[in-house]
Amino acid sequence: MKFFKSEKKVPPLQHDTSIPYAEVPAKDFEELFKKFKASADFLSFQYPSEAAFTVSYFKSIVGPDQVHQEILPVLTQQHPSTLEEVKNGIPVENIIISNDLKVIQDAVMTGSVIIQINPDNSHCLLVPCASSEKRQISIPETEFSVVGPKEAFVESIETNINLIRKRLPVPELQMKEIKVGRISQTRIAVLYIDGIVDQENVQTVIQRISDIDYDAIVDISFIAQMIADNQNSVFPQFIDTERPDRAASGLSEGKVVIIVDGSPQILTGPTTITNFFTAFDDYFVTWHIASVFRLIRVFAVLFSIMSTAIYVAVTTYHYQSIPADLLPTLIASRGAVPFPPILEALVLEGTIELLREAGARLPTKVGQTIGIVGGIVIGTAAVQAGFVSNVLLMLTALAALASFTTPIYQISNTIRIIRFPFLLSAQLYGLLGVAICAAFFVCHLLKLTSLGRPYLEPIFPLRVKDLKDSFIRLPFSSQTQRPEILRTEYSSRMQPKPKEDSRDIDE
Amino acid sequence: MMGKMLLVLLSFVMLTGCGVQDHILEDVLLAEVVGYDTAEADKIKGSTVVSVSQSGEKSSMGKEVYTAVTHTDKNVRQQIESEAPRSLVGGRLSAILYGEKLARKGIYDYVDTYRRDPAVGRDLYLAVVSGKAEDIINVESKMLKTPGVKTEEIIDHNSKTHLPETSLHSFLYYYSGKNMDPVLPLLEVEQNHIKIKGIALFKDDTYIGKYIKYEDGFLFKVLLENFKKGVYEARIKEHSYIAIDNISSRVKYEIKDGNGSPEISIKAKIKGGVLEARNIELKSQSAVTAIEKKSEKTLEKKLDRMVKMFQDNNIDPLALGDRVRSQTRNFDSKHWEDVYRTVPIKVDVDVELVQQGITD
Repeated sequence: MKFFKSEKKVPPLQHDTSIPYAEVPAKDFEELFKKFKASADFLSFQYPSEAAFTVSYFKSIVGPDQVHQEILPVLTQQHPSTLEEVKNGIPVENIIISNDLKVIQDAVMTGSVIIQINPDNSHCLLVPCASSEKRQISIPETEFSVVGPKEAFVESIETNINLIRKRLPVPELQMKEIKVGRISQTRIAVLYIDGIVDQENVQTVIQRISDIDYDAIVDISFIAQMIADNQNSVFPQFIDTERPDRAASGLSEGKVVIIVDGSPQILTGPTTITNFFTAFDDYFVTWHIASVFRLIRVFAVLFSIMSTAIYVAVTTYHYQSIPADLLPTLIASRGAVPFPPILEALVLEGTIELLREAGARLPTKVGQTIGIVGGIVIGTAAVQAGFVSNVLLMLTALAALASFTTPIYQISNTIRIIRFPFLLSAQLYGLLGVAICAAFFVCHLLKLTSLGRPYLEPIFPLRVKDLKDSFIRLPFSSQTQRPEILRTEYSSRMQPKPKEDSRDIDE
Repeated sequence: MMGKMLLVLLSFVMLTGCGVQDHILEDVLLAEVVGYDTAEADKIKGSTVVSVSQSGEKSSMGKEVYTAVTHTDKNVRQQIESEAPRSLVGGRLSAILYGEKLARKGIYDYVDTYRRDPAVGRDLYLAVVSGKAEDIINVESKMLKTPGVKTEEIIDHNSKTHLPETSLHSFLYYYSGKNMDPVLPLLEVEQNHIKIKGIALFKDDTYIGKYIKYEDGFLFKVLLENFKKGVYEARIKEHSYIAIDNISSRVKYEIKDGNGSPEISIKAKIKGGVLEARNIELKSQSAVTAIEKKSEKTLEKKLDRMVKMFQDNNIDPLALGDRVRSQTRNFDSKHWEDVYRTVPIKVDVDVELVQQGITD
């Protein structure tokens, strides 16, 4: 490859030091203020009159009511002469006096008001009065349930923690806060219940989050990808949920919860693959029903991944294995199609992906129309035009439907994608190819871990006790122990009851 | 690591070059029934029904017949290819038929080629045709009303009642096993319908020209295996018949002195219901018992005759030799072959009429 390389040496890029990273504050107070004043929304004025206090803040992140009612009256009415007096006068907690440039910068950027007596004096009084706009708590949309709580997380970290804390009012629910992101300075909270959680999991999470070095953490999905055990895996290794009840229940099981400011989703971990087939409303119905629903989901996922691949394999290689009564129908529908099965399948899968992608990008109202128009019109037209066979159309539509039965959005994306390797290997080697591809994915899943815990648990390693809440859900009376996978410090969920004597008919 | 993965993926794709052959469903001719007959001058005539896909229309498959005359069996396929529009595949074969004349010469050579073919299933049916196999092929090709292969369906549903199981697998088992002989269904064409005439009897792979009549197939099945279906009409006396609906039939072989002078007693127990009783009174328990006794006698007589016929022709479709072997230490196969024709075989039938249907 050396041949293609040009000999010209490019001078190394100058390291740009002027970017105001949070860790590198300005050289002195003057420079810091100059940077602040460069923004149009930075206010700095003398109050109550010339040569009195200098009040300065970013008007876009400071609540004006608080400034008018709690800070400015103190300066005019109490006539303080030192910052200390001002501090005592203002009825707000966490007021600090500092001349540390970093502290000042951080405080100002998160919505504090600076009060100085003498502009030359670098000592500043920092009064926190941030105001932040936040959305109302609304109904969960991606994890909707018919029964059960209808609250969903919002973008504000305080609100989210509030939603969890009011469900778990114990002091053992503890929280560590870390700031990540050179520019975004995103607040990340790690929640756990002390005494239940395995401290090793907490340490792992905290360590991985602190190790993140990135400029802007916009959403929790950034974190989910960055702290994943295997970042090259298509399988999500954390469950992201927007339901506070699910988060609270995870915490009480001994899981670690990660909340990121600005993201309406939270992460729970460690996770096993069975958790992805668990909808939270499985706990709201009786255990028989829940078990049936979970099994349906598992079969739906298998069907979704395998159906088109098996169709291609069978029609291309294994004409022997088609039931005799199905054969005429299959041949009749395939007969009009000019393409080999693989092209036919790719065309149809491609169409479905197009519809899905278009439906997701367009506004809700238009999106629905696209879904219906695309599904019905394009489907029928494609069959009539002889582009695809109607047997495959039905299979693909069912497979697309089946891939949405998983309660967690992230895994439904995974299912959507891993269909294609199966499809291609079915074309290459028939059912043998499907088997090889399946073996590949099983190997991958066997190696996968979530926070260092095996991903395929309780199937491998087989932990029979954990099967009670996996592909089936046993009644609450059998759920006396917390999952073994979480290695909890205290595993009993309830006091074991003394065994009742069986009632004799004579009593 | 990455390189290794790439190598695996690459070899996965590259290996398809080593002759992975596809058979796309609608681009092949699916042979459904194959028939072999003798032709002049040591040749054989092969004929086959293939389904031809008809696009657009639902559930209707055209059928075509191809024939060829050659020396060897695989050559038949070669010859047929020369006039077939697409490649002929045998993976969906459901029945292989042999003409009577060919069957009398021995059919193993024509079975062997299917035994070797991995695409061909083990559960397809073999059958002998009274007359020419080609006739059945021609009738089969005209039956288009419902999907499915008539020959296969006829044998399939009869093998629950009147025929022993006669797949390729069981033929090979009975042919290759020592001290037993295979049987195959015997088909014939009657007024443009395929019909089972009976059970063709074989000595090794050669049809001996004798067969068990279709009605008596039930009796043969009683001796051969335990089963739960079928109807048998027994004659009680002049103008009075009873049709016994088999509920459960069990058979037991008792063997004495396998290596010396063997004695075999076959005990069959039939639990049945009365399906039809013409001119017969069944009101009292004693009458029922009398009927049971009478039909036992009729059955025993017929079965004795059947077993005697096997011995006279020196064939062993009941695998008696194998049953003796399984109960005799250091079984002497040579000795058995010598004494087989003269072994006393006693058939003991126990009929129990457990239901008489709704009466009065």
